[in-house]
Amino acid sequence: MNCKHMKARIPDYLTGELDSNDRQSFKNHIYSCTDCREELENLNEIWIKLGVLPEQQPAKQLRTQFYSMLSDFKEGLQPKKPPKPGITLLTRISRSLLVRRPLLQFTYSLGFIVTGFFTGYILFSPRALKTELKVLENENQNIRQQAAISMLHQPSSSDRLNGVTWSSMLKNPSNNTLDILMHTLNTDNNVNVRLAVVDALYLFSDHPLVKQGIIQSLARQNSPLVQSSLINLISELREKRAIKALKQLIQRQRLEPEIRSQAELSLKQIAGLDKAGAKI
Amino acid sequence: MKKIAQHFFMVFLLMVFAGTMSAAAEDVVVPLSNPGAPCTIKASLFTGGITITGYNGKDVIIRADVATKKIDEKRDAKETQGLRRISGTSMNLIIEEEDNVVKIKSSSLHRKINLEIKVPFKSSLYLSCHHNGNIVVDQVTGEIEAKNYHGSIELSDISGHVMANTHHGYIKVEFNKITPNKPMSFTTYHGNIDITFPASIKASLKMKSERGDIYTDFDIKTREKSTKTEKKNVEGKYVVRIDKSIHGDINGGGPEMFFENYHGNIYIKKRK
Repeated sequence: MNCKHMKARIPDYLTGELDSNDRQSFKNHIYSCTDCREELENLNEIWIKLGVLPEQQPAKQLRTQFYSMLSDFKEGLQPKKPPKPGITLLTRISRSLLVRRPLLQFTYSLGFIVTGFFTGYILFSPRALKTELKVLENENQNIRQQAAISMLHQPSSSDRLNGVTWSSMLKNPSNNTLDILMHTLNTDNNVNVRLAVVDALYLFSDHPLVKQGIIQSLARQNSPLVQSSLINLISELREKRAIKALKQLIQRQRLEPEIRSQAELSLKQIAGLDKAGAKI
Repeated sequence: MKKIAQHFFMVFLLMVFAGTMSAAAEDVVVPLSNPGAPCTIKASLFTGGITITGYNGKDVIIRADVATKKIDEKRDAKETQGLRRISGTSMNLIIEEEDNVVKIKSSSLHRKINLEIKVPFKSSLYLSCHHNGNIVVDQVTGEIEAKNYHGSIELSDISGHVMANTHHGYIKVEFNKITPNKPMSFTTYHGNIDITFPASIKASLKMKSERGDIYTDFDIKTREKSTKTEKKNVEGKYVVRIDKSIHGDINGGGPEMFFENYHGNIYIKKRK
């Protein structure tokens, strides 16, 4: 790093705009080079003095001057009186060539619009918007999650059903939400709510927590509708672990015949799959 | 903090029927601790049915009927000859009132008890039966949760929202009005589901009948939902699974309504 380069950085250093790496190398250079140190000290002094200077208040005179200028300007906007006779053609042509004030205004505003547009484009480029949208969406998801959880704890079964519907709309339910859903599936005393939970869990069945929970839950269910939905879901999961749970279900004494045959079919599918997998 | 009195526990243990009672049923009038305010009835029976009717009053009136056994003429002829039956009815019924919640319970397993209850129009009902009885409700405004096993559930002239589930029986509900933005669910295994809604209802329906059919006179826009899944299995075959449930919107959609049974049909009707 030569001295010229470093001197150029002095103002940045004073305003604190250098990043930590650059600041460190700058400091190292200042320690070793007396020339640059002197320059820094000089500039620093000026910098401090500038900071101490009181802020200038506009003088009273300035104010009156400003208003008189403004009124002059307003006058200028008024329609022009017809040119006095005696003015030559040459001056008239030269006047028309001059930029009139309204026109100037128009070009200025156009300029502002264009710069505004480009700054806006740079600041809020699609990428920036996308990340912002994502943040908002995450917040939204969090709120939904909280709402779903609180609804699942309500005493009214209709509210709990609503909670199940809300959780089915979540994109990435937290483990906590899934835990509560599984708990509802196993312990809710209303069949209608439990049935809705199975429907909602279809969407999250890839989650390991859900997979295991569904298989375990089969033994706890007495309603044939819930059993049927669970078996459907289990056959889709194609999990070997489900074989035991299905066998246990088939051995139950009180079981609707249709559910038994459905479970047998599902068992065959999963077991058959297991064999096919072993061959490969 | 309107009513600190609500914290005040007022258990109103009304009566315990025990031992023998006369076969003629008597009305039990249960005064509410906050008359005029909506009340809640929680009734559960093992054997027998529950019939509830709304009326223009402030008390809950309960009539418990113990079904008398038919006399087996042939078998009992010798023993009962020349005798008069006083009563064969023993029941165990507990009625409790606390802060406008009336709980009615019976632990009687083998004797059939029929409950006939008159309630103020604005009442929420949580009813459960298991054996040998139906749940019948007429003219009630509020939330109704009905659970049965062997019997049916029949609700008419209802304003509010309903969750109903039974195993062997049918479910029939006629709505006057529904509570907006409340989901509902009607599920049975062997029975039909027959629901009548007001024509202006807004709802998103989810219907599934494993072996039955679904009928409606509503203009339902069915939509394919992402319940269709395609997966590649181990042998490289594509497996397409289509969920048998049908999704549809009435009047642009609204809260979710679930209808599910296995053997029966589902009827969703417009109130005329």
